[in-house]
Amino acid sequence: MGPEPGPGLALLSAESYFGRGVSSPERLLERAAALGHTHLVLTDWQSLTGGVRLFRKAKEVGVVPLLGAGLLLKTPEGTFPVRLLAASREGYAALSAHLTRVLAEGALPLEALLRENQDLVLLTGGREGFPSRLLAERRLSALNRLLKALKEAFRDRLFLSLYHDRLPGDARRARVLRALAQDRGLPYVAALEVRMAEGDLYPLLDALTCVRLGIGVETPHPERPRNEAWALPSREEALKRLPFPEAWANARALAETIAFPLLPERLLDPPVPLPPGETPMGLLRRLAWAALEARYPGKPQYAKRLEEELATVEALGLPGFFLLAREVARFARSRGILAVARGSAVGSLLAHLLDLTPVDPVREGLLFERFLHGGMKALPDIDLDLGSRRRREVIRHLEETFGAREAMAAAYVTYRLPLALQDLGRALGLPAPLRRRLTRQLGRDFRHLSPHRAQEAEPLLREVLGESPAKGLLLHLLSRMEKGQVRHLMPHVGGVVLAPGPLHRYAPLVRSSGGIQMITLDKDDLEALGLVKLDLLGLRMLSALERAREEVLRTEGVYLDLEALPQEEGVYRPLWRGETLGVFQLESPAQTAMSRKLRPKSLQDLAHQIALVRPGPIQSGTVRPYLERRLGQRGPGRLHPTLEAILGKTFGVILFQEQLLRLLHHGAGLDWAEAEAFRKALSKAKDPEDLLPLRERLLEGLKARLGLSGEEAEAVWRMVEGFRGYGFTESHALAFARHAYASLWLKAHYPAEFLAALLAEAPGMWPPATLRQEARRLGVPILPLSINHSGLYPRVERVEGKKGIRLPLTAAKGVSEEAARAILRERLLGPFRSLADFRARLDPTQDLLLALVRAGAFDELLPRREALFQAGLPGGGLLPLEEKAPPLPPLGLGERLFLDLEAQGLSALPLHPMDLLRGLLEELGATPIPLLEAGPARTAGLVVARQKPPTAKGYAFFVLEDGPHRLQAVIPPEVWEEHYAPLRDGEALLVEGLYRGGSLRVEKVWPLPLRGLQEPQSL
Amino acid sequence: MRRLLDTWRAGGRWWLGEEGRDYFLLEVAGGLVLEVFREGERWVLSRVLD
Repeated sequence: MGPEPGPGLALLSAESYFGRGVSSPERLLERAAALGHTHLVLTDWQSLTGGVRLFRKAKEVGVVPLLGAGLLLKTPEGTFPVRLLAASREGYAALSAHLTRVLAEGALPLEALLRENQDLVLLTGGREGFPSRLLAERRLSALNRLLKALKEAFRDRLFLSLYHDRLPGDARRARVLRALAQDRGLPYVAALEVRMAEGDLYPLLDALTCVRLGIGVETPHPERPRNEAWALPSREEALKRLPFPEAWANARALAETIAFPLLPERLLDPPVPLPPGETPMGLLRRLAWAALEARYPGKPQYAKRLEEELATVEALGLPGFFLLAREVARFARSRGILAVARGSAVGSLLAHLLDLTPVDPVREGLLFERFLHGGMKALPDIDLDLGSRRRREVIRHLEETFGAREAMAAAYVTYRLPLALQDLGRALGLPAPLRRRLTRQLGRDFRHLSPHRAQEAEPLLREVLGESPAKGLLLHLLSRMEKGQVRHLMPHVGGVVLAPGPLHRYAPLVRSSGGIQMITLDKDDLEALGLVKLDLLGLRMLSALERAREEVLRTEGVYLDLEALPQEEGVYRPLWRGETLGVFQLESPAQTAMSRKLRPKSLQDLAHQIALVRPGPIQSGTVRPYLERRLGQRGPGRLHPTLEAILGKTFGVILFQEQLLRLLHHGAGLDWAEAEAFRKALSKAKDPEDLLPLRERLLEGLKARLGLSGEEAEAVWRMVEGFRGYGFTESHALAFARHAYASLWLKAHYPAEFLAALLAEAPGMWPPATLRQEARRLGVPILPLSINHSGLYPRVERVEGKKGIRLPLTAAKGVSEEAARAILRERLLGPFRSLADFRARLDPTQDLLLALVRAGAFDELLPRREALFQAGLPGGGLLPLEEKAPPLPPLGLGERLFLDLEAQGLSALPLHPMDLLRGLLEELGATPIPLLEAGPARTAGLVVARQKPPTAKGYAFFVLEDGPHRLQAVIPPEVWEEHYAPLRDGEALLVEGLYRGGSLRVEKVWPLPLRGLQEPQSL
Repeated sequence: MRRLLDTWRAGGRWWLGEEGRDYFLLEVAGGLVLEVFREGERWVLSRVLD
């Protein structure tokens, strides 16, 4: 090892925000590069999560990345932090396996490390490391024993690390450690601790350390930073603190020796169980051809397409991926769980033949190349939608089948302003009510703001904190956070990852609090490591469809095949009238308006409609030309025959991603891989400069290939530029169209069962009280919650020959499924005769009893006020169980309505809160929503939805409800500004503005008082 | 001053607006050990150690 360090240093002990640091791996690398350093070792505490990002960024900045981790080592002499560095891909795998154990047990036993340390380098750690600690405790023989054991196992891969945190005595400690190393003949390295890119991040690092430790800034703790010393140092600063050139030279030499490439060249096909003697590709071929023969015999275009798809899958080496998806779908269906592929996979005939999707891509003209092509760099996605209620069963099955080779992907939870305010506010000692006010104050406008842009929310913070120092401090800390600052990891909603071998070789695994086995990398980072993921997405609508099917089976004895429902025009008709509530993907106000205009009557119409009301088509001005041509208000534009073949079925506009790819391929002559890269670049382009090369490429291609004039090519470019790739894939839209049709069909034929399922699963955007109004409109009675009749879920009950929906015990807020089950078990022994009987038999907590009583569960047995009186008495002990209530007036209808809404979110009463305001509204000159006519209008309603999408240029969209009628209120930015408080807080609003085309452009707003009003005249 | 024995830095209570301080441990003539820190342009004596 050379005696002098080169001009750039190797920093061996850096931590990012994936460990105990405050900066991203990328930021640390940038800083290291700016200071001229050559190597950066990321050694996050108990984590390898930052590795992929480190290696990716390193290529760009020219610093050599290395990976390690800090962990606790449990030895006979005590438990100490050490740092392990990976010296190869095998070393990385060993480290990852060790960390998996540490995450489960808290520390790594010394024996495990002595046994498994191939290609691992051990650094003895800093202030809390065993050399410093044992020396300070004067336990020299213990130190000798430990060094000897480690030396025997690690040989020349054990290094004493020198540190200096600018604390009293650090210079002396460094000298002592160096002397110790020289005395024992051990190599030593300079290893200054790094936890932030720059020194001025010290307050933020300290505050976030307090957050991590769960303490306030006034509470001392040894893990807190005590100054700016953990900033990434310059060479000058580093050599000043550790003035031992040979220790820096050793660090550099070590880094040069152990550097290795982390990111692999190819994808790793997941494992699948195979019959003896069968290969994955052989099995896939056999299954696919057998399905083709059975379903599409004598159709050469299908055979040709299948041959092409199989060849692509073989070339990419991914047959296991398909077999795995098939296995998952088969398992789900065998348990009665709906499982349907979505996304680009639906464009694959192979996926269709393997029963992953009912969509026939050849008949629908879908594009396989959007899903898979030979030049593919990114992994294909197979996204399987499963009924959300039972998704866990499928995941459990995978865990049982694949064991250590399977885990859920992680999602990196990044800071948004509300969470950052909560965390930092707590650390700074702001009381909880004040923090809640701060979060509420952010409202819709700033909820999604990244903390580093907190200054934009300064006026709102000022409203709560005034000009107190806390405001300035919070703003300063927030402004220093990075965009995308990661707070913690949680299991991804659907990404399941499988590897050919144990997954802990790729990244540490951990059991999440929900008991799910999670790999500590997100899906992009997993993909970068070559791992294939399958997205098992829980779709509540599928659960609702399953549940409705179960209810139909129970009430009618009919089992519905939801994937093969007959096409009926009558099923589509409610859409034409705007009756969309509960219909998958079509129940938003925008889709409702579109349903009235488009009057869909086929699955393809539904697919077009679903794709049309999306940011891409809306922003690119696609909607109007599509509508006008579809409705015959404008003639078809003149298109080149090649473009006509691609865009003809969508009336000359780009609606789907596949169309964009085809246009690029057939129109501009790009191969499929180039076309896909073009689409991705287009969707990621942020500035006009990013678009320039794409524009040139397209114009050139269109001219050369199709001979388009400059103007014609420009027109195509404008369409492409507008689309930006934000749209759906056609295959995805078709998959969703089928779910939408199934929901329409069930609503038309079995409204009670369907609404019961919607209430149980809440798959859509509307609250239960709105679904209740829809039941009222459809003439489906809602039966009140009853301690003797309600079950666990809303269920259809026949009352006097008519189907109604019985509210479940769990509708009462505060009644858990577990508590409801206990009640149901007790009820098997006989109905409850009184509240006292219930109390005596179940001994419920008072909270549970009150929750049930408030929601009216005992209304059948005694008036609710009396029940509340009894439930309020302390139970058990020496006091009598039943005390006669004093005379109490019965609940008025209005009182009962609001009590129901509070206690269970909806009411069995056929009444809407606005019914209580009828007299007042008449006096105020408000027209009821269903009677509105085009022109200036004043109306009122309960606010049931508030949206302020970031893409809407400051506009907000509210939905006001009056009984079963709803109105979209469009609130321009100036009105939002002027009436901010009632818009933010008002439960019901009186609004004035211009009514046109089913929505009201609001000009004035008044809050309406809902509570304490007169009783309705009648029901 | 006879010799500089040690230096360190205290980040200070940043949440109260305190600046960080550089501390110095000095041995002066007569064997007296002083702990001092810089505050702006002036030196402040923090402790005297026997």
